[in-house]
Amino acid sequence: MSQVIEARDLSRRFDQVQAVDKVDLSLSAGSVLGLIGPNGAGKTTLLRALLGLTDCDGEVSVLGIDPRRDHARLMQQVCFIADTAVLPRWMTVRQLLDYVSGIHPRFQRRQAEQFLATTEVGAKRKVRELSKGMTVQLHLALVMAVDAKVLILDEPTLGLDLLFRKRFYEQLLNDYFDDERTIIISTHQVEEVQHILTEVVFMDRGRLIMHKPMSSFDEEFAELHVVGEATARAEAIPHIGSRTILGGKAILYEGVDRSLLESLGEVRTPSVSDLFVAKIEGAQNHV
Amino acid sequence: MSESPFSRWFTLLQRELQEYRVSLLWTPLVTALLLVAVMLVSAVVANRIAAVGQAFIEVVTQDEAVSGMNITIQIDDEPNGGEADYRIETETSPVAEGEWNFSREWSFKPRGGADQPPSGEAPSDVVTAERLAPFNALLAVVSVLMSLVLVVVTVNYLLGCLYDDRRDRSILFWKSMPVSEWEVVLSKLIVALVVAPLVFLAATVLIQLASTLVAMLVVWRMDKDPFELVLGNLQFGQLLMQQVGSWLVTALWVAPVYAWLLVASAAARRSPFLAAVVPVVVLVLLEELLFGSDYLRSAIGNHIPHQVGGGTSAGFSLLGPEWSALSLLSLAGGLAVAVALVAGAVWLRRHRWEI
Repeated sequence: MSQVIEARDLSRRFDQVQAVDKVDLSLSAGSVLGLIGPNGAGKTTLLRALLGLTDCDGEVSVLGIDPRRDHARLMQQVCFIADTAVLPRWMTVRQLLDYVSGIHPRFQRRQAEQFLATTEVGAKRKVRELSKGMTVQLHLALVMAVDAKVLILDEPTLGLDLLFRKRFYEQLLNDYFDDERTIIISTHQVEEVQHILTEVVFMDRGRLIMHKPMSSFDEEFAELHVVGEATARAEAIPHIGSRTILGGKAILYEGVDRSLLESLGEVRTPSVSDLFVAKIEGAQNHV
Repeated sequence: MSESPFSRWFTLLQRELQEYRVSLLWTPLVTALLLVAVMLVSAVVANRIAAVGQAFIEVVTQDEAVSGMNITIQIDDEPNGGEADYRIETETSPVAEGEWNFSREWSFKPRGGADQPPSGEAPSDVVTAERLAPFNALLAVVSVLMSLVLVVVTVNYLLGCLYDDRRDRSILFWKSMPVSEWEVVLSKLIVALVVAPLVFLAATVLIQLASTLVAMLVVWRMDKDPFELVLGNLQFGQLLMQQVGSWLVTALWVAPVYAWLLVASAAARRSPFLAAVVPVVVLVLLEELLFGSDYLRSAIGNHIPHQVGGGTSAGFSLLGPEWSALSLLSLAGGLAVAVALVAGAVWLRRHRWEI
């Protein structure tokens, strides 16, 4: 299958900071990629490089287009929500719909209006009058009505309350995603997206420290809950991280056979966030 | 859904008018209505405000002031607000001069007796002319005001249009749309050079129509025939053509200055105004200090919107004497600079948009 996104040796340096450091990334159609990393890891810069919003070194190709050279053409196929609250505050909802339908060849106005009808966002309201959650819903309505191949979401739910966040991802998954489309989500709130992801990328200090399909988690990673004297034996096995839990320890293993662990205690597949913490701490300890 | 270039550009320009609705649409309309109201009042109480009117003229337009007092034909250069519109913003000479000259038509049946108190049979006409003097002065003020407002509005628009969206981060939304930065920058320039002047021209025409009615009212109150005296002497179509024509010429002249303002707006991190003014002042001063010359200053001066002096010394017109080889050179050079500056603004929008 042809790759929707191909990046090789992608680097971007600001004055003192190497924001993105020789990143290789390739993604095929129909993936939902979670881009996860601490603040300042370079997630936003990486996404902007993919969108052609920032200069960078190395090779990038999105849908066969070099985003740096042909940004406007790429935007016919790629939608993005960069952060919350970037919709022009002076516009009314109707003006916004007018604008997008006048400019975007793949925008279905009716679809956006139908979506908005299920929300409290009225056509006459100004964006500045909308709450943060409503603004994001409005943006989502615009984006979902565009027949795009790639959707890039940079912290789309930052600052929203739990109900809005849940609804946002439900709508995204149910009403938008299909096998043809590719979605990249960068976020801190790992727990809320992990069930919709097909792939995960961990990023720290400009580098990708892990890129794996979610389906490989069961085989490659194991989390062992141990209590009592088994703890010492469990810790003797090379592990990538551990944390204290009630009455014992939870230890994370990579590439260790589960049958070996099952005699020591309860084995399960680690959550993305626990794995993230272990990986980031591991990477930082090595430096 | 539509992909035709027409609807695309229509959308881009419509967006500008929506964002700057107050300055681009409401300001000219309200200014025009206010001015019409002032004219109406002044026509009704013309005599009473005569003194005020004279003082006003002296302050605002000195040429007119002098001629106004003498009640010569010159005084009536600018009964039509629209003329001033292009005169200032477009720094064009009063092309329409004499085409629509209220006091000339009203004051004297025998033409040419303007400066002299007409002997004999027309004392009442002299009175008429004297009473109309403040009215004409007001019309001159009207035109000056309209052009000033246009320049202020346009400069303000240009300095803000590539800066505001970067400051409030909505540029990230605009950049998520399939619109190239060339289209963005050009749409702003078109608004400044074409759309805003058109709106002000329309407002000016409104004032002109209203002032015609006022003039007819005044003439009617003086027991003259308003249709013969006022309407009979109007060449409205020609006047409009001249206004449009000189505004087009002006657009060509001011293009580099407007393009520079776009660059400042696209480059500014704090204040687009300072970004526009400081480098120019520094360069001009450097040139004068190091080389003792003022090429840059005079080159810029050619292209800056300015009030053109009254009478024949007016800046440039379509057929005027100012169209010498030097002006053509300056015009062509200015356009070349404008193209380069627009390209610069596009580059800044692409690569240096983050504040």
